[in-house]
Amino acid sequence: MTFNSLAFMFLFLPAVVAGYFLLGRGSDRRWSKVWLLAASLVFYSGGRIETLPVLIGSVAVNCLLATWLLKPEGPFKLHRGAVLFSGIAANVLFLCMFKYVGFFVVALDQVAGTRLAAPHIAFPLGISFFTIQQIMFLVDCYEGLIEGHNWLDYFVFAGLFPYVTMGPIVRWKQVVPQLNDPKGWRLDPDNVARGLFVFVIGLFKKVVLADSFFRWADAGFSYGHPLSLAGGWIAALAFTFQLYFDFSGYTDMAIGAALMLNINLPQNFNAPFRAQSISDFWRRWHMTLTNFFTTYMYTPIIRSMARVTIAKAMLATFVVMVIIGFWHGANWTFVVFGALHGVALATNQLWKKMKWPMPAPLAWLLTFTFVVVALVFFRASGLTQAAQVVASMFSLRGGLFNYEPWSGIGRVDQLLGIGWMLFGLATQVRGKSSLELQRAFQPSWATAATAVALAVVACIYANGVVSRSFVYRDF
Amino acid sequence: MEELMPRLQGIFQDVFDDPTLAIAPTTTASDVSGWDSLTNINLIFAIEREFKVKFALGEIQELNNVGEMVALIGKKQDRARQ
Repeated sequence: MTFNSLAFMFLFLPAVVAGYFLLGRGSDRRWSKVWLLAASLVFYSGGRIETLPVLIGSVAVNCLLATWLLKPEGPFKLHRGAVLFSGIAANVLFLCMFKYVGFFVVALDQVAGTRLAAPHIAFPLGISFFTIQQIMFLVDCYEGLIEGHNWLDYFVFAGLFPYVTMGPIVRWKQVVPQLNDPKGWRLDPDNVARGLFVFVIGLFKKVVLADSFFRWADAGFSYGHPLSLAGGWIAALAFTFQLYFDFSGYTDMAIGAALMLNINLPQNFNAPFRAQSISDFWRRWHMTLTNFFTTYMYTPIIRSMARVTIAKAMLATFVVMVIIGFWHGANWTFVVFGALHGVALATNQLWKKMKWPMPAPLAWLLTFTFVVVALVFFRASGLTQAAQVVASMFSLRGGLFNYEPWSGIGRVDQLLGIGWMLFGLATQVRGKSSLELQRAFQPSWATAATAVALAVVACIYANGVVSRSFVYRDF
Repeated sequence: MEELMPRLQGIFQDVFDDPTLAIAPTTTASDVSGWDSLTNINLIFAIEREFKVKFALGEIQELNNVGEMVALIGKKQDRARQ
């Protein structure tokens, strides 16, 4: 099940919200939590039921590890540090087993000349997200930031349907205290209205905007011959906007759905294309992922150094960014994507350290162009395809503006494409972000009418245009 | 809280290499140019050394402004004294 399906919007979500508040009317909160957990498992199974045991297994093991970590002494007289270390290692291995085994086998075959066949393992939905969320939880338990937990709260926390498949990546403290706060036990009309509003914005972003940009991106990337200069940029820009509207649209829907249950989720995007440096970009793009890697990987690396020099810090930045790239998927394209961002971020660190100047418009242009080019590697099916698209963006091999190559997309559509790109850019740089819209939300007839209009258009699109799966669903 | 602020201000001036830098409890990362994840870590290390406290990783992430930083240092010092 996905957020943009009619079954989710008109059946699942209303039933979950209604059931949650009906069951939570008494003082016994257990049943409403069991309801949430059951709903989350149904939601997850609707995506890929065969991997449901993977989710349940991972959550159960981590819950047990947390029980040990929350005691002053580990089990079998083990040191708590050893429990934490084994827990993190088990989570990372678990993730590798399902996500990266094929990649490593192929790499080994190429390097060592072995002839191992890559095993076919069903990819468990959301594994990259729920794994790091639980690692974060274990570290918080070890460091004394979690006072206690129980099985029911933990299962709800780890598997809650708004974020289990694609984030936002949340911390225990961001969710569980809200679940247990009596203030949130009754249906709050204001939160429902606000939640619906944010959900509709997200839905519109996904099915109207992202799925429209998809056409140009897909036509360009799958063309297979050198693109024209304009064609290369249209494809790359179209993918940039597709990805942004897709993922931030998803996040808006997640935030909106959770808000109807009186749960405030952390923001994941804050107008990233307004960034004036690459570090600024990562503070605005997939913020919960950036926070995780900065806090739980970059900080310990730096902390472990006796003396931090700028060179060491730049190296640490690069390594962490390569890992972030690889986290997205088992393909060299993601490694290169991470490495490019690593070099850019490290350069940015040096630039700041040296206090070299840069005019703001140039800084914006450089940042935005870099992001678009690096995302070509993110989208491409392989390094060859990525190299082909990047080459067309910086050469005239395929001509300046060639109408012919676009499979199924003619002259008018190409012009329309450029119009869309400019529109996409304008909304990003000038328009209000979802975060700003959410903060400024005031229930009124005008707001209601806008939301209904957006929802109607979105539903027509969701039903008419071939709706695409969310990009991050495969990560 | 008052007694911590001047010492904290000294650390900020040192880490940001700016002897004129003035901070208030409401100061956030976006108010100080150059306050990014690396300087933040350097800042945390300098604070840990100066006040002889240790922050949990999750606590570093939660700090939103200087006031919260001061409150957390105070809390940790109190706990250490007990």
